[in-house]
Amino acid sequence: MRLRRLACELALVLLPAAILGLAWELAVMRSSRAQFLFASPSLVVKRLLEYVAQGDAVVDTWVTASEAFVGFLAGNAIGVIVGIALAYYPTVQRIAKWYILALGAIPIFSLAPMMIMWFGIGYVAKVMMSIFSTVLVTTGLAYAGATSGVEGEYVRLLRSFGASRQQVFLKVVVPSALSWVVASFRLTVGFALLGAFIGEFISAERGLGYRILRAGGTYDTPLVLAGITLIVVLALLLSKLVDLVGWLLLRGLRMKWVQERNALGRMG
Amino acid sequence: MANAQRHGGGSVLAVEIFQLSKCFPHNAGVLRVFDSFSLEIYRGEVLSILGASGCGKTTLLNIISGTEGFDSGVVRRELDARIGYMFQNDLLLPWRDAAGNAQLGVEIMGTAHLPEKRRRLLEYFDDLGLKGFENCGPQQLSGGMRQRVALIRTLLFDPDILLLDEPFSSLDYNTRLCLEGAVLAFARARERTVVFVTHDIDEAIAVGSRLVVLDGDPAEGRPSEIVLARDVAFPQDVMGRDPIAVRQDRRFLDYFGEVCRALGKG
Repeated sequence: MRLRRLACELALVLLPAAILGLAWELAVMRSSRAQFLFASPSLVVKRLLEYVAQGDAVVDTWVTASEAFVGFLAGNAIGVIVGIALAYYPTVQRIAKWYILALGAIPIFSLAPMMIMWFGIGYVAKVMMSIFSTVLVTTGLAYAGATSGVEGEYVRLLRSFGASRQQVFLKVVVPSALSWVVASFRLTVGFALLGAFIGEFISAERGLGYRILRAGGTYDTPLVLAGITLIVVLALLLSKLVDLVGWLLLRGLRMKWVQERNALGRMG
Repeated sequence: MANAQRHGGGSVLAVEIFQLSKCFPHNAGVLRVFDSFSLEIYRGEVLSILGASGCGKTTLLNIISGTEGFDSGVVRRELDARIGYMFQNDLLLPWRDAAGNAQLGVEIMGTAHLPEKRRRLLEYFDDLGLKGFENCGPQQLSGGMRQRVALIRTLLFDPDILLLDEPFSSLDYNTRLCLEGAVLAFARARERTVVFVTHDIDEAIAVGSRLVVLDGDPAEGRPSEIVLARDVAFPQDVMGRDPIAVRQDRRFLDYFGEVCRALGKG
């Protein structure tokens, strides 16, 4: 019975995709010009299978995935430390916030040429792009988390128990910052992927961004769409992966998941 | 204080407030909340403090707890008295489960690992009907359950002086009766002092062994002062006060009327 409900649900979810795919297929069927411009589901699937069979698909996806994931981890680690430090030193925060706002205003694209000059066109440059793309967001989240408990009555509560400044820091400030950051993992991993992708788009030798750019350059529409499909799959897998990372992290710290702070959590 | 002695309150002072003055900066001028305010709180008594909103009840508790300073006067507490402060808001840390929140105070004190504390924690969870909820996060608990966890957190800390700032005002009547009972049982079993701030007349009478009514309007330039101070005694008190039974006692209405008159409502 439960299996049947699940099958029903799946059919419902796939229905719009099937209708759209069919309409797309039929619309371009008679015109090779339209097929050249818009490809078609069957062409995309065919190209995707070729792409996988050549072995490039796995390599490209893996490269992009690892760039994004490493950037995600580093960006979050740096963001947590900087965010908490800013909460601990209000004077520094008052000054630093203008610089953070200024940095946040930079379109991430515009940093790519410099990253390439400094770190080459390899792996490191992409990871740096990915870090840049996440770190300001996580810094903001960690700072918001770290200060939310402090301004409130939590501190008065801990003080009434005779807590030292250090105890307040360890029992309220740090866990609060972490709970905000972890609750937003799904959001920040998207930024990490974006950073890595843009890095590849500018200049690279491997990766999904590189592949999509190349395919576009040779008017290989089916391959562009096959690449985008893989990006979508990758993004979904990464968001599951960071769920797991968050779960392990919280479990290790014996913390509970704080759902209400996660806007994306509501959607499943 | 012969009466206070009869209800478990001794003649030893737990808190002595003498000629206390406290102002808050307000717009251009100052808000004078207390001016030469004096109050004595005896060890083992349950003191209910009633008063309209804004008359400085919370400020008084903050000053007693030492989390807020004052301008002049003397506030003396029993030597080394441990203060447990319970707020209107349960203030549970959302990333800790119920048991983790309950042991926050003893954790800060550094005694959370003691087997005795561990045992007491589980006992309190049993007694207050929270058995099986030890590992639930605050988000999974109802408002009443959250406030019960907050109460356990306070009681586990084993305070000599328990300060309660309208902690039950947002709870349903049943839960409130249960928690009032738990506070009274704690105070009686261990001869602890309780200062219970509320604006619920009914609750103040049911819980307090002494009752103080504050009146004042600092916003109008009238500092708070005590307009009524009286002992509250019921025949059943010898066996330990039951917050349900006393509400049915005929004296309850007499006290009620007296308090209403003091508050200017009768």
